[in-house]
Amino acid sequence: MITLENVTKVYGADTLAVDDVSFDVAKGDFIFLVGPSGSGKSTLLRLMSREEVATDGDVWVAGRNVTDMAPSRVPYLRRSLGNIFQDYKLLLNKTVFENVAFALEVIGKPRHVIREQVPFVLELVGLADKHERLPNQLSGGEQQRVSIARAFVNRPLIMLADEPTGNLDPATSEGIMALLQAINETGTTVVMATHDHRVVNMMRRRVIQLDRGVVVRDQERGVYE
Amino acid sequence: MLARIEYALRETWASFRRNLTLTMAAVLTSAIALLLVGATFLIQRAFENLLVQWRGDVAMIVFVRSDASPEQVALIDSTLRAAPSVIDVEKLRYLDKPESYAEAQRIFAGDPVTLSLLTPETIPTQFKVVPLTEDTNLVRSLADQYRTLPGVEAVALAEDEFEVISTLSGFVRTVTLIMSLVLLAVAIGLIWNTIRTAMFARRREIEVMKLVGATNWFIRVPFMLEGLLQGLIGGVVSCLGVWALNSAWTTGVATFQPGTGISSLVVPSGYLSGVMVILLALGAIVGAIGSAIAASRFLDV
Ligand SMILES: Nc1ncnc2c1ncn2[C@@H]1O[C@H](COP(=O)(O)OP(=O)(O)OP(=O)(O)O)[C@@H](O)[C@H]1O
Ligand SMILES: [Mg+2]
Repeated sequence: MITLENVTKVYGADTLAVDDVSFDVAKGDFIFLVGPSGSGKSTLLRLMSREEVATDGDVWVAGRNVTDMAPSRVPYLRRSLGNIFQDYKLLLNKTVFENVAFALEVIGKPRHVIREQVPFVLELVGLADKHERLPNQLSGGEQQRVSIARAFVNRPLIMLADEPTGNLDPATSEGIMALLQAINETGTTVVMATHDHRVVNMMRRRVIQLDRGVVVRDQERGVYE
Repeated sequence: MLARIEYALRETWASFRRNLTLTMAAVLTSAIALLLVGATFLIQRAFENLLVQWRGDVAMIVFVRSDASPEQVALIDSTLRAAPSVIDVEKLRYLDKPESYAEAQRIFAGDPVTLSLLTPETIPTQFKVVPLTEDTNLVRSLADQYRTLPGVEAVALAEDEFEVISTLSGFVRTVTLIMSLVLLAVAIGLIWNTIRTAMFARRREIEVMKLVGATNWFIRVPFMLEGLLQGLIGGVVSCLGVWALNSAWTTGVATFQPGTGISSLVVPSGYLSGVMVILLALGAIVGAIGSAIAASRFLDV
């Protein structure tokens, strides 16, 4: 589902963020990217969603080479990806329902699809009774659920999660991980960058550890450290 | 498709209301710029009424009395042709009564009093003379000579009438054209700024849209529509202005002393409508350019 071949990313003139990284992620896999701050985890995720372009090497996502993809094709790549972040990136002036509906609306989905899919996915993430709330009327965990609902509503092949539990307490994090696990069980590939060793140790999935842009460990059913 | 159109219109309208002050400034500037463009057109067209009789290097017009006999006309014609070294006989043109009458209707377009005195029967006919020489004294002495011919009512020289108006019209055209261009550029700049501000205000939404796979066109279209609409509204306002100005001018001119060229400075209503259509189109173009620049720049970052 995702293949990196000798991928290098240099920011500006001399910030080497990713250094000759290669790995494969099979369809339906759940992997953790771990490593100290600045080791290149977010950069790898951004290379996969084509927010950044590799300086060298090839990134394949869902059968497409995103490194030399035409800019006009990028939106269609993004439709097969779901992105979630530490800071949720919700629109504060829109309700929970509208936030999720927005993701379908702006890719031109007709209204009857929106009316069907949004309640379904909000039910899935456990927010069936909070459609009309605004983001700042929700807890952090609930906000992250909204952002997961938004990422999942278009049934992506891959979920890219950048420290989704970074702002959450352990109990809430467990709930979010259960949700990502459930999404993974529907066949969606999940790639998650994290500092949260509790979560990694609890899940026991594949762990790729980075240090200064280099892969130093790639372990099935791994732990944080 | 319907969902997309609905989305674009809704967003355009919402954004319009959010940035009311900037929008007003952009619309007003476009309107003023376009008003000036419209005025340039109208002034030029009005001047043309005065200049029409001198079109094509005509430097002298020999007016023939309306009761002149065919023999007298023939004599004038042969006298004019007798100076082939000074007068371009190839270009010598005789306007008979219907032709002269048609021309007079343009010259006296805003002067119904004079116009009512003229009929196709009483109108003087005329010879349009294109000289070969640059020597205005020579042309002037010829004119004096033609004035004495039987049947000649008057001889008019371009030097006396045409050149002042022509220079004036050229000057006015240059000034209004430069001012219109400057103001149009300012209008484009203001629309650009409004759209840029609107996009900046919604940068989080744009970020999310890109994240979930909205195409750049989908993101752009509401903003471009907004700019287009601003230009178009500016166009509508300028049309109202041009119409009001023209009406006031036409009424004012009609009260002027008949026979002073001022009253020729009016335009037919068909021409006015044409100018209005141009102003609307130009407004739309100004809006489209301003917002297109804003939309393409902002989306790249
Ligand atoms: N847009 C950018 N421009 C320049 N340098 C950048 C940019 N983004 C990241 N970097 C640099 O690239 C390196 C890797 O950053 P990255 O964000 O991928 O690390 P990370 O592993 O996600 O760190 P963290 O755990 O703190 O989120 C760092 O040295 C960082 O300073
Ligand atoms: Mg990071």
